[in-house]
Amino acid sequence: MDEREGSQRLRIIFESAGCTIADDAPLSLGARPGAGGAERIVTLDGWDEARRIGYEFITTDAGDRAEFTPEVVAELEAKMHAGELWVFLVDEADIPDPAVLERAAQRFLDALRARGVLP
Amino acid sequence: MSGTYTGAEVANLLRWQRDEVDATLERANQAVRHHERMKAELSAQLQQAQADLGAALLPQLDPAWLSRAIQLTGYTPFQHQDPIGQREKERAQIHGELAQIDADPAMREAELLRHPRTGTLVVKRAELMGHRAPWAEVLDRAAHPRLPHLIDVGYGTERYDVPFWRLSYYQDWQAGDEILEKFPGKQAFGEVRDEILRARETVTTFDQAIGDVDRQLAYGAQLEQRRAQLAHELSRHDARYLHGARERLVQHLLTVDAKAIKPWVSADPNVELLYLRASGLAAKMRYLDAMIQEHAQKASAQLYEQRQGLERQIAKYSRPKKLYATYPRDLIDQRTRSRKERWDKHFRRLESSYTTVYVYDDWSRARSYHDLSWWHVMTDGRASGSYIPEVAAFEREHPDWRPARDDFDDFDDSAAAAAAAVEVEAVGSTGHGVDLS
Repeated sequence: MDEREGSQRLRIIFESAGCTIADDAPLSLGARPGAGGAERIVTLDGWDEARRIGYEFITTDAGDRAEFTPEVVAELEAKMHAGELWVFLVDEADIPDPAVLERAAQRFLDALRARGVLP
Repeated sequence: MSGTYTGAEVANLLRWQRDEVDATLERANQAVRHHERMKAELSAQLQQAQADLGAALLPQLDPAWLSRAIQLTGYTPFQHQDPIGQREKERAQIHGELAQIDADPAMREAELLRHPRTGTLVVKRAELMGHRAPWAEVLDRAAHPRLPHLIDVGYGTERYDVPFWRLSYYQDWQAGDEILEKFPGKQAFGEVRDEILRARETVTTFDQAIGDVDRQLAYGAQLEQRRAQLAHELSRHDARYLHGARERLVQHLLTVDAKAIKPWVSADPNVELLYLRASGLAAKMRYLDAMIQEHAQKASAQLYEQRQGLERQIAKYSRPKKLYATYPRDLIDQRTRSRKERWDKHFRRLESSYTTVYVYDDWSRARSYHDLSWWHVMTDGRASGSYIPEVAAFEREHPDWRPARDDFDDFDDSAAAAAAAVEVEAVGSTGHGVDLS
């Protein structure tokens, strides 16, 4: 299963849960520390701007390693710890068969429902 | 008869000559194959002759027999090398090592320690395996491709900190659940994890203990194996030294000049006859090899080359532009005449000489010669062996001796003539100005 197929499956699951997903959507992480206030923007594979929920496949082929550096992932996770946004992160090294991916996505969405992020 | 041949006729004559060469080549190759079979038989005869000679020279390896053997062979190295002393020294070394092995507790208590059913090490190993089994069963049951990762990241403990937005969180969750299902009494993965870690530690401890027992068993088995090896060496120790001494004596006799040997061995008529038999058989093998090399293998190479030349000539005279050119009949007849009779004579002589040497077995006849050349004894000088270096050397030392006739000399001429026959390209065509070179 490649990034494209995985993204399509996630889009269906996220939209079934009530999300409105935009493909390859930009997300601002705010000003880059120590970079003169320049804004840092990353592109997510799927993103619901209104609910601030999305998903990202991190793959080497797609050049994601250059964009989603450990610092960027740490920044994203800091925002998730703060409850500002929720991005389901899938590393290609962990990409399982489709059934496992779909079950994991459902559980992620269940977790958001439990937190009141999704109805 | 005067007249001409066309190129097509010359090509046919050359084909006929090539077929004749093929038949002769096969005859040469047959002689080589036949010799290989004869050589195998002779080799067995020579081996037996050498063994018989060795046994007659040295029935036992003791001082009296050794002294006699030295006198009969002139083999002086045995005067200072002391094979009997060496044999006893090595025997003492073997006994020493055997005593050391027998004194080792692992060997002294071999039965107590390693009896297949009641040996203490065997029983201990079985007990350790029995105690290890339930813990190993826990590990077998918990086996899962993701288990090492779950243990590493502390899944099921407070240390586990993978956040829920990572896919790996759900993979850990799923793997943990799959493992937990195999332990019906456990409520959470943390409990299973504790049991797995305990099992790992326990199995490691038992494996170390079992490894110790295995090392002791292996050491004991190694001692037993070495002991059996030494006992076997001891059982054939005397025979090995006797055989070695006999081999050296026989090799000495067969390599030293017969002139020097004969006065010694003639002191014992039986030894002398056995020496002559071994020496004669060894010479027979050398002569037959040389005979086949000189008169069959060389002929084979020559005939093969001749055949290649004929093939080239056949192709040449079969070309359209040569097919109807004409060539002088006399010259072509001379160059393509049959060599069969000469080759038949050559091989008849080879077979005759070969058989004379091969069947020879009157070993005692050589007793009357002071300086021994088996070739001359075997052939009575009826065949030339001057292509054999030792025969040539003998003839140089004895210039008065002459062969009755030189069997293969005229072959050399005929062979050269046959080889020249293929040089048909040197023949000019008659008046057509065709360059045949």
